[in-house]
Amino acid sequence: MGIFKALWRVLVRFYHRCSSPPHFYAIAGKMLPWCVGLTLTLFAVGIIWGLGFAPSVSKQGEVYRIIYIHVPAATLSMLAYVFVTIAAAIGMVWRMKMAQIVAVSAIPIGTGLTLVALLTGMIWGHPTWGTYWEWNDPRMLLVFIMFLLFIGLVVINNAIEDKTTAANAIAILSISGLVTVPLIKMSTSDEFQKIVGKTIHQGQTEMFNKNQMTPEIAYIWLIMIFAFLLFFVTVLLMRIRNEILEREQNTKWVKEKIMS
Amino acid sequence: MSIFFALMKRDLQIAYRRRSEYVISFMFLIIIISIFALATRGHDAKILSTIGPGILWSSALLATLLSLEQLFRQDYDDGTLEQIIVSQHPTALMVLAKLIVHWLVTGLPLILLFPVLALMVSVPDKVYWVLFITLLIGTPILSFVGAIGLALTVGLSRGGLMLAILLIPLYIPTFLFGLGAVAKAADGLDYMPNIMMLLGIFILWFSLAPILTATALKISLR
Repeated sequence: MGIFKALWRVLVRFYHRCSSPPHFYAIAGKMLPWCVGLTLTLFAVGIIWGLGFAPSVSKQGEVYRIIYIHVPAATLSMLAYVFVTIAAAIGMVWRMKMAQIVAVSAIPIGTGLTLVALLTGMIWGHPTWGTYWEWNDPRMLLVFIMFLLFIGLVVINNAIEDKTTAANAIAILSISGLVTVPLIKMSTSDEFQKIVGKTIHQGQTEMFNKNQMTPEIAYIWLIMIFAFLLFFVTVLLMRIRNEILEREQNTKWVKEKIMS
Repeated sequence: MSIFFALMKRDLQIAYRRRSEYVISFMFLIIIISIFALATRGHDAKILSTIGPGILWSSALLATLLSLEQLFRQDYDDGTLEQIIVSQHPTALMVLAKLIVHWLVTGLPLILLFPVLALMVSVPDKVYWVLFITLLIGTPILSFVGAIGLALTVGLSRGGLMLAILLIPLYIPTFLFGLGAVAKAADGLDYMPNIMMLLGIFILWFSLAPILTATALKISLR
């Protein structure tokens, strides 16, 4: 137990240190090269293996390979939304400046990932379901709602001049729309479809159940999910560093950093 | 509690004295419905009665967006809103009073004149009462959710258009369940689950929206 307590204390100390912008700037700067390298490696391995060498699924042919982009992007976009909400809520409740910066920086990344998920889904949907877009489909509609929510967050962030007010407004708005994320997850379940209508989108388990999922595909899938996760972290760190510099431009340490 | 009813009475009096504004927003609703109905001109009359419930819902949404400004704008300009926030009474309760009055003056006319509006888009008998009930539960949700977005944008100069961008994604789930019930009734299926979900959304926003709106107002007016 002693070890865990010590570890916990180290983590808490690290967390408190991260709440100071200069420290976070330095820590993020040290982490960035590793993150960039690892992201690029994982992407290279996943994409070359997935698009070039992985076996094709008999039912769909080669077009299934878009799964290696579509599923990680969709997963990460939902994660990004929850991430923004939690960070913004922490920033609002405890008035923590770093949490506000983190929330604001994550919004455009989430918007981009949602757009990627929507577009790859449309490209994938056309050959397999015969349609690019189906308004009756609850899952497509819910992801589209999440995209609109992200757009709303971007818009309100740009419209409000005062940074703290903007971050708090983001917290309120993202909390109001948070219910969309579990709904997206639920939208392929039978109970949900009974109420809202049938989705043509397949659930996560269907892929596993029908014996379509060979171990190789699962590995590549995992690699791609980690690649997207690291991509999110890397871009987030870059954006946070920029945001810190912009907000703290009148402080001494930023001036020294720029001058040196 | 007396302050709650006092505020309601005050808001109702103001609404009565500025009734021309509310009449205009109701006329706007009727004009939107006619434009949607005109869009099906030259086609089979069945098309209008099929999409009729959807037209009523969309028009209710657009009219709510237009009339939302009246919820806080006037009070923001003359400083009443600040007085409400700095007063000893819980802001969420005050917001709830204002919201109920807002629904009484914008949502209720729609409900009362539902027979006429339904006639305009020739709603089929099969879905008549289902549509009525979904609108009865749905229009308060539109007002309640709208208050959150309005509270966030009340201090901004160009809030009007932004309001639509912020609110439409929050409105879509209500839309989904409301029109889902109508579509199921048209197919002769069991529509109660949808009504229940709609009621659930109503209860969620009824309890959550005043609190979030009060917080948002405190943020915007800081």
